[in-house]
Amino acid sequence: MTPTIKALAGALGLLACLVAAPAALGSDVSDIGYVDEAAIGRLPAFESAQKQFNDERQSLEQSFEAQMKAAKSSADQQRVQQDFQQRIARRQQALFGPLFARAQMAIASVAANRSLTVVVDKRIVLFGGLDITKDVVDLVSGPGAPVTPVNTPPPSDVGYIDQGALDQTPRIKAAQDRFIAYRQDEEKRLQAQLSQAKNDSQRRALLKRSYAELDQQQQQVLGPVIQETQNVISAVAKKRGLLLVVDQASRVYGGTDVTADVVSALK
Amino acid sequence: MRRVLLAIALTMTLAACAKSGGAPAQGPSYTGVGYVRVEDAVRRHPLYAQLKQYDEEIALLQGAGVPAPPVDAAELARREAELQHSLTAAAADAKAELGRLQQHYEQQEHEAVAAALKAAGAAPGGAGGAGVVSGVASDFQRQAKEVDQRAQQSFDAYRDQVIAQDRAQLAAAAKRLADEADRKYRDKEHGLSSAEAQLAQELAQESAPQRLELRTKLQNLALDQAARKALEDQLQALDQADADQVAELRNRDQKALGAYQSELQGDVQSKMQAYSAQVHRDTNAKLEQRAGLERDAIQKQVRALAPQVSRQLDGFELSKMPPPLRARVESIHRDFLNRYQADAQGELDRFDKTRQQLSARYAALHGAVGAADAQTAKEVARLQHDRDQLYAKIVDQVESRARAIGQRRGLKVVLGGAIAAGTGVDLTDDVERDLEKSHA
Repeated sequence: MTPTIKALAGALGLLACLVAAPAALGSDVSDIGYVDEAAIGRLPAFESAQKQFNDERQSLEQSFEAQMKAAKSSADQQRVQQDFQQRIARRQQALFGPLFARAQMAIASVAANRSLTVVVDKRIVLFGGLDITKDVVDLVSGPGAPVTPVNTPPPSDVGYIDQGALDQTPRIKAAQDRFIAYRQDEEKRLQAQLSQAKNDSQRRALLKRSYAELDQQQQQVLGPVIQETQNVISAVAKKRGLLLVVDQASRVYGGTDVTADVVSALK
Repeated sequence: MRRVLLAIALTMTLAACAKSGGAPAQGPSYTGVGYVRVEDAVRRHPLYAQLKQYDEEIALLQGAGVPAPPVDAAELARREAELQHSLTAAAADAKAELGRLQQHYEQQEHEAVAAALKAAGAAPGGAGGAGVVSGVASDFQRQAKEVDQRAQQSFDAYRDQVIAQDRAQLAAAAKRLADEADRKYRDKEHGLSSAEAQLAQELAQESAPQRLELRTKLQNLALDQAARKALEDQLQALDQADADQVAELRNRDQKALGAYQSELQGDVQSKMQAYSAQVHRDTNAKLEQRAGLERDAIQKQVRALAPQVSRQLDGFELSKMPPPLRARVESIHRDFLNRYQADAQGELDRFDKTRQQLSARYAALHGAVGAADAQTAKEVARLQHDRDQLYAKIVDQVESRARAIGQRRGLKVVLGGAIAAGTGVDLTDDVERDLEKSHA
């Protein structure tokens, strides 16, 4: 074998190895991470903050009830209520805000170090993905502030959507309002009929009929809107090359927000 | 030549790497990630019908906000009528027994007085004869009966009043507890929402200088495209980082709210159960106390009738009789009157006891309304628990099938929280088919 042939064979061998390597590496690598949020919530700092908040809330509630009793007008009551809510919100922000910010920073830091494009809640992961809970817990519990990631997460193949925002789009809102109005009317009709019912079986029959009608109405009014929304989300997901779209509540960090696109498409 | 071959080999290697390695390409060909639309799969699960059945049963019990009595109104009225009938029958029995006693003692007294008059040489049936005694006994019975009837009416009115108050009290308590829970929930929701808004505001304030700097730089028209994009990316990254923190807080808040709502519902149920039991105990105690007072009052009033006997006897001019005969007749009369009073009192006590028992049953019947509200809540909680278990079982089956199918198909990751399909591998149909087969 001449040196030339040896070199060629070596190069081809290297080629074969390199061609096979990404697939092999790829099977162990995922850009989807997950974290057990409940485990973070159980950390002493969070539990202590929760206990302190509960105690303070109880004390504030007692003071609130006394003030409500002493209030002489509905305007006074409203003022007392607003004051109470603001105080609660301030305490909550003061106690939990820094902890949440620290946890979020820790998740971002771990995600950046592990090259994750998205971190979701553990509950939606059936298998695979990278569990970063321990790393996050260590960082949150450790001394000093977690290191801020230099870059924002890279674009992710996993989309997420704020379903609350979708509910505010005119078409969905109109359908929901229509259904709510129907339900209120139906409840009034039902109340009137129930007051005339002579026995338990008549009562059950009336309730059953009412629920069946509500169910049917819900399917008729909301069903097409829900289906259309899902189609739009899927279309947006496919257009943006996303693997799937999850609810915002399941996404912890990163991911691709498709809410604006979907809202715009639904208008 | 060697260099050329090596260059070709390296070029081919790099080309191959570029094609199949590196970052996973997006699009339908990328099959590393699968997902299952859990809610859709649950809706097509063979046990979904049972889940719906639970929902329907719970909704029926909860009555769409209409409080469901333990028995319907007609049944309640029927049971009340039964009790009233029993009470009327007991009163009629007592009346008949009193009449029988009266006749019995009148006859005996008549014979005794006749014998005494005969022995004294006077004619039976005179002014001081058995008619006088009979009239006194008759008056006593009438008056005792009136006393008893007044007591019964008073007790019935009191009982109805107490029960009506208790029912109103229970309804008010249920409303108060529900309102309180609702207020607490709204407070918490509002508090959390304010905290989210405040966090967003603080974050915006914190990053404001940085944003301003970036925006100022972006206003520089001389920026080349790459530099402009880098600045825009930084600006977007700032927005994203802020949004992430707020979203993180919101996610936690939503979970906290869900848990808080369950906690409040459990709290309302247990408080209502305890309160209902307490009200029921109080009702019975009040009725027992009132029954005791009524009984004492009857006895006092019946005893108070006795002195009237002497006055009535005086009205019949027994004083005109010869003293020994008068003493004899009075003695006979008092003896029979005492015996009649004792027996009549015994009969009234028996009737009183029956009335108390019937009243207790009546109170229990109405008290059951409050207790049954708690019972209904308990039943709803039990059904909800069973429903949750079934739901968890269905979800578990869906997820484990998705895991198995995903692994079989060599996927890297399978997620269960998908709400819409993308270009990933949708395992939902496969899971549904698998579940149908296993339940066939």
